[in-house]
Amino acid sequence: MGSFQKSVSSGFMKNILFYVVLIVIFFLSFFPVIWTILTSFKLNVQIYTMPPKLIFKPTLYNWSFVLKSAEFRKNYLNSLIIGGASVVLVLIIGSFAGYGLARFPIGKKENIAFWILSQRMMPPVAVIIPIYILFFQWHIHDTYPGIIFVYTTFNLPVAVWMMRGFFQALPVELEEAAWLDGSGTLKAFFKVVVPLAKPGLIACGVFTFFMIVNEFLFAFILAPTKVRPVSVAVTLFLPTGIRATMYGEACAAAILIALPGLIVALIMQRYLVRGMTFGALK
Amino acid sequence: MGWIMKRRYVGYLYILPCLIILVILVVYPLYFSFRISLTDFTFGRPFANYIGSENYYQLFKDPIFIQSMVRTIFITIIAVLVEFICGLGSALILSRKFRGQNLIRTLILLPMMISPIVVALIWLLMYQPDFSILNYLIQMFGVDPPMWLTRPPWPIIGVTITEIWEWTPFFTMVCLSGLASLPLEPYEAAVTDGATGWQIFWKITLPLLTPLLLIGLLIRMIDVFRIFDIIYIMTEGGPGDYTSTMSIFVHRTGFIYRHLGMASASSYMMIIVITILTLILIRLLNRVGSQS
Repeated sequence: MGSFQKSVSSGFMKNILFYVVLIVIFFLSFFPVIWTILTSFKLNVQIYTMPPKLIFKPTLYNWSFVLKSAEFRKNYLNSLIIGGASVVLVLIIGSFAGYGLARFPIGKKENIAFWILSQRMMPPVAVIIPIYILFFQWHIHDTYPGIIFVYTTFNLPVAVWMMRGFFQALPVELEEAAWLDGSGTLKAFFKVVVPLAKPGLIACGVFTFFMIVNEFLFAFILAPTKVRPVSVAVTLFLPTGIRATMYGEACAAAILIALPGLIVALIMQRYLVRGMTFGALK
Repeated sequence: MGWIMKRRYVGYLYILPCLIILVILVVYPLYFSFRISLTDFTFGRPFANYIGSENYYQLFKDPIFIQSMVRTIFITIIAVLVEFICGLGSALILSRKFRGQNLIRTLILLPMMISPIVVALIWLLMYQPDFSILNYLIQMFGVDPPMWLTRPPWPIIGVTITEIWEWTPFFTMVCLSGLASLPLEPYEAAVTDGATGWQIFWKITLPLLTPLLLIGLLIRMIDVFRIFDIIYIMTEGGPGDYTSTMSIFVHRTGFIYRHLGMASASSYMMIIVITILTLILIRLLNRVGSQS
């Protein structure tokens, strides 16, 4: 790293320019978020003024409005239930498949693995119409099983790919010893492999949870009212025929909505990188 | 060695649940959707008639569909390119050692880590016509701020800026990880040979990063192409159809106009276009990769 750093610092730019650029980057990526946080502490009178106020008397009105809203709290709980259940299912099914593809002689194994990953390429909109109709036929539209089923399916491809990578990195000798001892592959999988792959399972679970609580389209179409997760709840604050956008309340809600994914992402940043690049970056 | 024989078919049992689920909720719906796309199926009407390729034919005659398709491809190319350049640039700057480096590197990923819905809301506030801080800052420079989400061509620019703001950190992150894992030897050799910073960047850094950058470009292209939530929250595809993308078109045709047959046909067109784009990108990148 050293010589590369040196070449950048001596060849490319002067020190002051460097810090100016740094501040600009920071400002660009941060300012809209800070402004949203500030707005969540303003009353409508303070929001609808020009020039915009940087210094004002903060109020907790918006926060108490959102936190007291039974609907919003229910949506929040729905998100956690749906996210948690889907993550468990993705981990079970995904690690089985990842293990199968990592360790066993399966015909056309690479083709199967790529076919599974290629599902990630398909736009969700491309299947939303048939799934919507099928869910009505199967009576699982706007229910927990329905939306959990969808999230499990569409997060499987990356999970399988990630878990396969983790299993391939494990030494095979321990499993072979277990197999030779006469225990079945399933027993060896749970006794030997799963404990070793725990960091991988955590990484995969964190990433999947992050993707699910941030997802909008599937939830919007397939879980619109009864089991509506919090990502869709933002629409509560958008303009309808009779009222304008409730900016103060919406900003408070937005911060609360972003929070679970954000906390998970900040703590487990490394895992996020891994998931977003399908395991290409370790 | 009985266990070797046992492993042969046991492997299929391990991948079976995953394959069954993918067949139920991906393969079967795609087949179902293709059948619907050959009918005039509409919500609220009990019968659907088989009309062959009529829906596809109508789509190609529909200027709104063609515009949505062109617009989607345009947004995809512009957004991915700008994100790529800004991300690589900021990664080169951030890879320098400075105080508070780790903190800044984490904080800068924030736009990517908050949910797209929240990003849309944040920018709705930024683009608000009457009291937005963004317009105020623009006015300070003595320029009249545009009507961001109402007067063309600004809505499409506004939406693209939001997309770029959210996902530039992705390339920053990918490039930073790539830079951190570069081998030292080529740099030592180059410095001994007296190469300049630019030469080192073009001849060593970029070629070494290429494989990683290709994966990054591919992932972003696939994801920008399906852009829905940001646009839906900010403009619902409006004003008129001005910010309608292919995803918005499918949603509108299917769930607002209730022409499920037509919507299925357009969703099939979407799969075809993204497949073609992916193949073009892979081929293009293979050529770039083999040259450098």
